[in-house]
Amino acid sequence: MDFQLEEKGQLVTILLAGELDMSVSEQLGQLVRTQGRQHERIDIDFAAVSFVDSAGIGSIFFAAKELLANGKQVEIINIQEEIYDILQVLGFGEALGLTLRKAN
Amino acid sequence: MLLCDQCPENPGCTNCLDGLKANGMGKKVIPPRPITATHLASGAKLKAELRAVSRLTIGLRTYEKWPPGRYEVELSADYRIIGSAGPSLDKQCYIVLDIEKVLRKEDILERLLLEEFHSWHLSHELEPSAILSKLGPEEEKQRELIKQELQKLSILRQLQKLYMFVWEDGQLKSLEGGHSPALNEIGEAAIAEAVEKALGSGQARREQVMSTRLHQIYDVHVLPLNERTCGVVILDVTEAVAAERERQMQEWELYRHVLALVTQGKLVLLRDQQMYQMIKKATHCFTQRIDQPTDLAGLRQKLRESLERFAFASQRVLPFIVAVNEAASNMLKYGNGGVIDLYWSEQEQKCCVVVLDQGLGMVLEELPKLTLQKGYSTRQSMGAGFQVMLQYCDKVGLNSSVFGTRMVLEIVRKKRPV
Repeated sequence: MDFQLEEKGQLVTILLAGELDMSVSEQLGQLVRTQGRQHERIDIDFAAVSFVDSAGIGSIFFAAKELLANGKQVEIINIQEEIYDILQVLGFGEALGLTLRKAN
Repeated sequence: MLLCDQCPENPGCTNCLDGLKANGMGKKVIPPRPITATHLASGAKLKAELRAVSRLTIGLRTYEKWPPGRYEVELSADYRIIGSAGPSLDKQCYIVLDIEKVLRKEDILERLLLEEFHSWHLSHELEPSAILSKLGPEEEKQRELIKQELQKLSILRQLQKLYMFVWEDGQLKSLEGGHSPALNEIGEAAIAEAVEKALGSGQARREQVMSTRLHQIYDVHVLPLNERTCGVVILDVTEAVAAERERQMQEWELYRHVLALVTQGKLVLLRDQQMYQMIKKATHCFTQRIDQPTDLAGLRQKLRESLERFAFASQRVLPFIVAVNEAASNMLKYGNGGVIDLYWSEQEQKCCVVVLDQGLGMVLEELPKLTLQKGYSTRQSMGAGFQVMLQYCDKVGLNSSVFGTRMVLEIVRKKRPV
């Protein structure tokens, strides 16, 4: 997994790339939490994500849940069709009460 | 007359027999049997031990002064002896009763039939304390404890085959008299081993022991009482174990039916044999060990290459990889990793991924929740791993036991429309 950060005032976009599986879950959760503490709005860009599993996505789920509970704004954007389908089966957006935004 | 008080350790002593005046026709009662004798004139009840018997006399070890007269000795409700004793001397500890009548179930005799007495003695259980050697007064409590424990178990005896013993100073003494059939089946060495462990730890032990011919199962309970004495109870649990196994099989079948029904046949509980059947005609493609999360990427790569080689539709490849990846992640989450094998069946046009872990296995009762309930997980994750597998595989076979969990994930290559 690779990532880049784009900051615009209180908005940070985390551009994730590669495979989000169990081996990166801890690092991923930490990344979202850290950025969430420093910004009011966190967009997680999935455009370059080629794989997700329940452990990888689970770490984003628990981190995002905390941020939402603290009044922060979290969005998952630019999701590829295949990955979107997997997130739907995992119940990711539904469980967080988020609208998942597909890539155009 | 002085008794040796060492029965049965002193076989050379004949003091108790000599007192019977039976011209060598008497027999020792081994082990001595505690009895209560009623003095018929006064109704007084006196405790004694039956030490020796002959056709016309019985010898009783006494601990108190006995008035002369007629006595009724009750061996059991339907087996009594009426006899008379002459005046006892001070400090006399051995009373010989001249038999007047022997009251048996249906008739009255004037003689004691020794063979009959002997078989009665063997078939009627002694109180545990009767075969313990003399203990100091401070050990009375322990004697009482062993008696209570074994008496509790005697209720069980009415329900199943149960054998009771006392282990004392390296010797196993049966409370039933004679040699217990359970001992022949298990062998005394197995019991000695359990006793040694119990005495060493001072804790009660329960061990399951197979008979030497492996056709019976016994539960051996050892209750240590002091450094050298244990109560030992052996239960024949063969039938109970068989009944439990049968019940578990029925329960397993029920779960199999229900899980298959609610998943439209996608989730199938498999027996070992069925699991083998699923892959026996298939060709083995690769094996991948999963010991750490970083092994997952290698698995996905190999899997992708194989699925593409077998020309699976591209939109099915990633979802199936996700499903197999979930099964592999579960091995790391719930076990210590495991092995994944891919098979290809040309005949059935399908890929089977066999996932084998050595984890704790899944409890049958937990299976519906684990496999079907979204968000149910015993670890921190989305708890949707099984939903993914059921969604993206054509069939999921599951075989779980205390030895670990085995799964078969199947994907069938659909015929392309002509």
